[in-house]
Amino acid sequence: MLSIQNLHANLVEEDKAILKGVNLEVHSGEVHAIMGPNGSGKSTLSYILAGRDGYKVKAGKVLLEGQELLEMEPEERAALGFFLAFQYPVEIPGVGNMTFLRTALNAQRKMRGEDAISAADFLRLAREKAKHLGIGDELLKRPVNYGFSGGEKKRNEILQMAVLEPRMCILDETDSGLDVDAMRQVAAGVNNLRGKERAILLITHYQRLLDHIEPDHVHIMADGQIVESGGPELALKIEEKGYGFMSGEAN
Amino acid sequence: MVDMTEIRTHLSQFEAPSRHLSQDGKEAPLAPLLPEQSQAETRWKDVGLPTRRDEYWKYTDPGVFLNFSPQTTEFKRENSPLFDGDVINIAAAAEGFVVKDGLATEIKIDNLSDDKMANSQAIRQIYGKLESQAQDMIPRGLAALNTHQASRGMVIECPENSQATVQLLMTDERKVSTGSMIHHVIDARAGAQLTLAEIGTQASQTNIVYEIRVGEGASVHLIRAARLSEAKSAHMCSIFADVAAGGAFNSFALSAWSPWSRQEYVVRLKEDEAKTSLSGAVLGREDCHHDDMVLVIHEGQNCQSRQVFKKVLRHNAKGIFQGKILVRQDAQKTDGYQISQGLLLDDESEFCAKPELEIYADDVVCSHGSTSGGVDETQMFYLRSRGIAENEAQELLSMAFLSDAIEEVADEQVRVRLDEWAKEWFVEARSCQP
Repeated sequence: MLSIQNLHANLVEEDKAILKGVNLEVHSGEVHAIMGPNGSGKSTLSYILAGRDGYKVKAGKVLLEGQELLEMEPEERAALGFFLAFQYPVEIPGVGNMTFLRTALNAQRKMRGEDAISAADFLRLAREKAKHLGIGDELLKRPVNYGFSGGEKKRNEILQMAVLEPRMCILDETDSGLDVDAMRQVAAGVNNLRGKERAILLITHYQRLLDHIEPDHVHIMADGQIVESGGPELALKIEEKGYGFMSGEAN
Repeated sequence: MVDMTEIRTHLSQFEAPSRHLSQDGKEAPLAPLLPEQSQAETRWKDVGLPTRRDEYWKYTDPGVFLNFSPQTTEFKRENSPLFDGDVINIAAAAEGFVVKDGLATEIKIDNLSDDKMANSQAIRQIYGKLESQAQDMIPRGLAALNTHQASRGMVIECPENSQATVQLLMTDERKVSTGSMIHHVIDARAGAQLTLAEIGTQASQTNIVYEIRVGEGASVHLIRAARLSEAKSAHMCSIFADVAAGGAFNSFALSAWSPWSRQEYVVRLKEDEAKTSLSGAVLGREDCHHDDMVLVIHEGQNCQSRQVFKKVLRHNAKGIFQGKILVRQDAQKTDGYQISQGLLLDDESEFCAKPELEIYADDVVCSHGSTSGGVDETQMFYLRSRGIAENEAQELLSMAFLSDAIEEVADEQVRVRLDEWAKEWFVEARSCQP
């Protein structure tokens, strides 16, 4: 599904390497978790995969379903099935949540050569998905993320994921800022989306999200590289010993 | 001193230019239609026509308007109504304004050119009076010239506690090859409620004046959303409103499809508890020039005023906002608000703002803000990351930006239509990228 090969990247503004040769293979049906200390490059990796400006790829390549991801515009990546749940979902006052979601879904369908979904069908679909996530009509009608609580924003990200049905989902610190109940709700939403056709990559600092969403593989990222990979037990080891035991450079 | 040759040249651009001025270059012996019109002649001769040296014309070259060559305008699309239902529809024709459908049972609508207007109370009390009192602070030669020269206009009298919605379709204006000089007078007596929407397609050059008297507890909502010709055009509109105790004057303008336009507002909140909301949504492209100049004068106590102007500009378009809240010494407990913002969709576009507060009372709340900038890159990326293409994301954010101004319109159905019309602009803009 997703193949990251020797990815090196800098910030455009400063000539400082952030990613220093990331390698990662994610297959359909798998759930991976990347853990790592602050500043290890986890969020940068997710932004580069989504196509955010401000980064310069120096070397390496990324394939999504065999296609060169880094050559594409962000919207093309989305149409191909790539989705990033933002660590800080963006507030867009003046754009209704439903308008936004329907525009996004129809834009993706159009790019894939599919017919647009009607307003009525979309409303039915969005309401049904929202219900599972404990999102009421009121939240659907409000402007995108505007005035949402931290938990509502994160649930709204998962709602988008549920409606757009991407194949490769990256969740960037979706657990940050969530209380225990919100975390359970979000985790249930993510678990609902687990499936053979879909791969999920969780980026997190802590083990606690992984108590709710059990990964198949855990990777530790430090100083722009994946320094160790293993099963769920690796996350427990981190929880117990901290990142300090990994390498001298981390933390 | 006024240059009469310049004036004659300018007036020759308009319909019936010879009514008050003789062709041989001498002062005209022709009698003006109304006594109020003849008085206006002294005014424009005193204040003169605007020049670049005038403080409030420094961002806009009046020469573009003064030396404009009007042409027959073509507009391909049919005009859709803004209001359905119980509406008085009026069509603008060369000879005057004609009621097409709907019954003016509660209110009285006359043509300015009717002979009987010489004895009209509304004309005697309002025509030229509001325009004239606005001249003492800032010279407004083009409005005075209009008062003197206008051959067409509506005189709308709303009796006490009457209610009406009037929709003015400028449909016939597209056939006019000269400019239009139009002067409307509105008299809304105590408790009357009038909504007036100006839609359709305007002549390629217009000089329009509204004089509006809002009585005690009355309200007048003016919505100007006429499509302006796609060809070269120049539009000038001056709106003068006096608002009595507890009355409200609200104005919204959607200005798109307009290569050159300037709207001037002078709203006087004369008595206690009077309110006004002035708003504008502007969409400008391809060298378009759009200027809004607002003066709100607080005279009564506990009055509220809002100014919300939003301009989306691209392809070398220029947007201007000059707005002032003037609070007189007795106008205690004034609540004044003003925001003007430019959204620049490229590096070539420009937004100039001159927000002003002049406050002589000591117990007031007044705020003003002005911003200019491009679309938020973080928001753009968020939308694009969900599959929305760059131009569509830009449109969504531009519409969101304009929504604050459109929200000032009370009627939801009208807001939805204005929203649709604004969206059409983006579709057109997309199809004619330079």
